[in-house]
Amino acid sequence: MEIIQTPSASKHDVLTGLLALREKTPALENIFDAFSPLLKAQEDGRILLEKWSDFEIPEADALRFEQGVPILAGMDMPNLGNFFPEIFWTMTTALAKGMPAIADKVTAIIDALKDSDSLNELARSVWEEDNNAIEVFAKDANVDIAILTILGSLSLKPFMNRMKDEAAVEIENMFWNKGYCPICGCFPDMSLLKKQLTENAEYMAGHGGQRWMHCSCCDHQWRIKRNICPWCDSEDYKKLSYLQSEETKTERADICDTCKRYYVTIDTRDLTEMPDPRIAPLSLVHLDVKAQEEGYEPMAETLWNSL
Amino acid sequence: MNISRRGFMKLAGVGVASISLSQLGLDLSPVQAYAAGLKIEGAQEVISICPFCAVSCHFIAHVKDGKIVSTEGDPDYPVSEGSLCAKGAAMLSMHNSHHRLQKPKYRAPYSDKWVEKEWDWVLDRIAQNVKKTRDKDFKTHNAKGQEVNRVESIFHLGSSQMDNEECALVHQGVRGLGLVHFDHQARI
Repeated sequence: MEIIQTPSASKHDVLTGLLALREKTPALENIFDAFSPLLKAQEDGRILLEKWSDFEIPEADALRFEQGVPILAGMDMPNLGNFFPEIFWTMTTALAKGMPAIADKVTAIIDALKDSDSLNELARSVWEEDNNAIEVFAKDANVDIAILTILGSLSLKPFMNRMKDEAAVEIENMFWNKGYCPICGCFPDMSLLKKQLTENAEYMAGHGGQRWMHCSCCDHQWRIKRNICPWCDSEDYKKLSYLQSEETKTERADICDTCKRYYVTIDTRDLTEMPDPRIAPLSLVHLDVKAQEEGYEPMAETLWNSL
Repeated sequence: MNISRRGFMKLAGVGVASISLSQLGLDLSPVQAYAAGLKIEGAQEVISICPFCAVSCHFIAHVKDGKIVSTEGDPDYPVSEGSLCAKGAAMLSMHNSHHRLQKPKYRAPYSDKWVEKEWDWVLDRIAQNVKKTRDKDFKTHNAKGQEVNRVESIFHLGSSQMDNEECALVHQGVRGLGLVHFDHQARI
């Protein structure tokens, strides 16, 4: 029987986790402080959506899936009901609170859309990546398009997270070896090296770390091979390497010289507690800085690694 | 439906690329100073094979500046799934041990001393001895007068790392010389 260390995402709320990270790495405290309202808003969104069930996960076609098509690829946006506006407004407040420098732009969005009943149209434009529609929406409301898009994107993530648990059940017995998420198709914002514990062979030493990728969008985790680039599938070991500080041997940035992409990794095998992957990438921004200084691009562009 | 891998939902990145942390009002100087103060170095992971037994477990060698700095079991190797026995787990100390032979050594007949030799010299010496022994001992017929065309004075032992195809190749090679005594340790 295979036992994999499980994430402790539900063990603590994100604010408790961020507080612990803040104490561990004070140099990053302004980043933790800026993002904590947003991460709390996303956690609140996830809790709110426990009541949402107005969606149907597409039936998994093993042949199609195992050729690399995520289960939610091409899915029409489900009925988000009034949940989307509620999460959107929570997110606006959180963004303004965490990043006061753009509070005026967020306030302009609140003022322009507070009486709007078309927020779900914004959700659809973001879902479908219809940049023209987002542009028209922003122009009509006379608001900043970049901030509006970020808010729309952040507000949709709790919905993806809500759907991923049911989608994961559909694909649990299928094979997936891609570097992007088998559920939503997004690239990972980090990976975790995890110890495999076996019931009957505790005497066996070594415990090579299995690589588990964490989706930057829906929070799903999936396993891929150690010696492959999740972005370009290169297995050329001469071009796959990692950057690591002598001070923190459990953290590293994995880089690929074929595609010049990178992702951050935490080796959890010797940690007493599994990191919460919803917040852990924030604690590795110094590795983002180093990797980007060396000319590599992140696999998943997130708000905190756009330097 | 577009099934290009770039065509899936990219909600994590939508809109993000157009705005940076500094545009969001964050002061990056503390994290930049922190990153600059860290001694960050590059390393590679190279998959290799444990030399000890016929299971041939894969292990991952972490290589920095051309030197192995640590090893771990390869979790993607289907037989052992990342576990290593006590010998395999001690790969790094075996690799760095001063007892480890890194060059061929030769002890001449009747000598009590080992002398370090180059691979070319050793391979030539083996080939010469094989030929000399075969030429001397090759039997065309056995005691009953039956045609056998064989060499009984050479034994070939394969390694634990040989797979079926390599064994088949070696089998053909030694059979071609007329050898009848050969075996190998591999069970993979």
